[in-house]
Amino acid sequence: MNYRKDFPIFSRKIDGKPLAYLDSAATSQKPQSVIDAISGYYSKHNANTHRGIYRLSEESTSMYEEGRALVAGFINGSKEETIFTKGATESLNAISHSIHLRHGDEIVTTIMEHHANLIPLQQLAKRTGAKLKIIDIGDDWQLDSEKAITDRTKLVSVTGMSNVLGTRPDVKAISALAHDHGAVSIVDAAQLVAHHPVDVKRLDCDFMAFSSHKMLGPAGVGVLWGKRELLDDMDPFLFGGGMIREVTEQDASWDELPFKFEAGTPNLGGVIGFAEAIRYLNRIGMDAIERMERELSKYALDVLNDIKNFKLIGTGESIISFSLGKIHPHDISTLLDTENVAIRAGHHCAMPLMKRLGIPATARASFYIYNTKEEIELLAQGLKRANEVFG
Amino acid sequence: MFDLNMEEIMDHYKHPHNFGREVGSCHKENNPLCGDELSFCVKTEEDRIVDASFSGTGCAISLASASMLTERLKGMKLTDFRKLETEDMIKMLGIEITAVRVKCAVLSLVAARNALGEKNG
Repeated sequence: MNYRKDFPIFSRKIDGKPLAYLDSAATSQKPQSVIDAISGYYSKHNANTHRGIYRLSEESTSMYEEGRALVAGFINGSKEETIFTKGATESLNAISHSIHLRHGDEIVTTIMEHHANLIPLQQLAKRTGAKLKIIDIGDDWQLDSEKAITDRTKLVSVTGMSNVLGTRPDVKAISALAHDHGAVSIVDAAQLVAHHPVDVKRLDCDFMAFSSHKMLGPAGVGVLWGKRELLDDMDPFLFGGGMIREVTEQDASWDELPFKFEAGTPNLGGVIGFAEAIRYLNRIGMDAIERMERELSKYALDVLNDIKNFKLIGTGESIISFSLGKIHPHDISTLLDTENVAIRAGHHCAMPLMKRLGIPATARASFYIYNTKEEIELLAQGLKRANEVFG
Repeated sequence: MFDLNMEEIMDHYKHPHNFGREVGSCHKENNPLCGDELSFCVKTEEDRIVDASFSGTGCAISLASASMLTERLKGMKLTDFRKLETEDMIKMLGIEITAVRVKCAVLSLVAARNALGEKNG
């Protein structure tokens, strides 16, 4: 099943060459229906939500809340627990900001974390005097031990899927272990939700963060999902209009969930676009997407492993980080760009992981539903050329 | 990027000039974003640079521009050195580079300035 035709960007050629877009882990391309939903909203339905009494505003509010229901349903959560933010980064910042810890409490996270998860936790530790413990990975790219989680642990925060290695920690087991020790669990699901089915009830995590733009939706909108009891106890991260019940000169009280955490006018068009992305994904089904990516990844590794000095870093599941002998990832990336093949080179917002791997940067090709075997062939040809030019 | 001047850049990358030895005062500079790490050395006599060298690892652009810079600096008056800008490094390379890679191109210049105790930025 080829979904590529639904994505208008692929009809664009640069220097007469088609685009081989292998950087979906950075951001995903958008189907026409998502683009149309956003412009359709602003053309026909635009009005501020939850505020107006006129019918246009009710329409807009209804579309927005329908979007919330779709997104909540996508992860098997409830509407009250599904908060729209600017993206996973803001969601993770909001949680870290609002969690109360004391000196000597421990926070456990992993060496694979994206800076969006890691840095807020570092700041939380610095602010409260809590200790930040880092779980290492083993030679198999999996977390090497959960022994780091003890009775002093109050917070465990892990990636659902590494944007460098593709590794998917067993977040269900980790959440259970966290709960056994009286700790709260957070999942940075930015990559995970885009590529695999996710059920927050099954995982039993306490918080989850993800972003629309990684999963066919527009940039500028994402989700903070949290268990109701915990969100009820948490202070808001942002204050302003739309999240209050009553305001006097010196004080204010908060609205109920989820509105308590949605200060200000939300990304209206963004949420509508995000909702359409969810519909698009649901039409295909996350199980089917998972299968498709598995096949494509396997094909890619078969082809790429034949290239001299190609070395896979990580699991190669939907995300293929690699090195090519001594050739610098930036040089590989620039050369591929001349063939209109887009990959990423750098630290991928995971500097501690790079240090742990003993390298400053990797090259990374990542897949989504619109990628094809032809694009992989172009990648392979480019890498062979890189070997010739730089080797 | 891959146009006429690439041959010269690739030559500098594969056979860097003034590489691996130390002269005068050296300064190490790195680009943590991609892992380019250079140590650039400059030797002066009175008001001139008389020798330059470098060592390190990095991408083709950072190493080639370091290599080219060592040649360019030999015999240069300090007053002329102080006038060198990012633009000059890009012109020296002779190719178009994207914004992200400008850092690679100027790494050696930044290191050279620091080696001479000159201000950066």
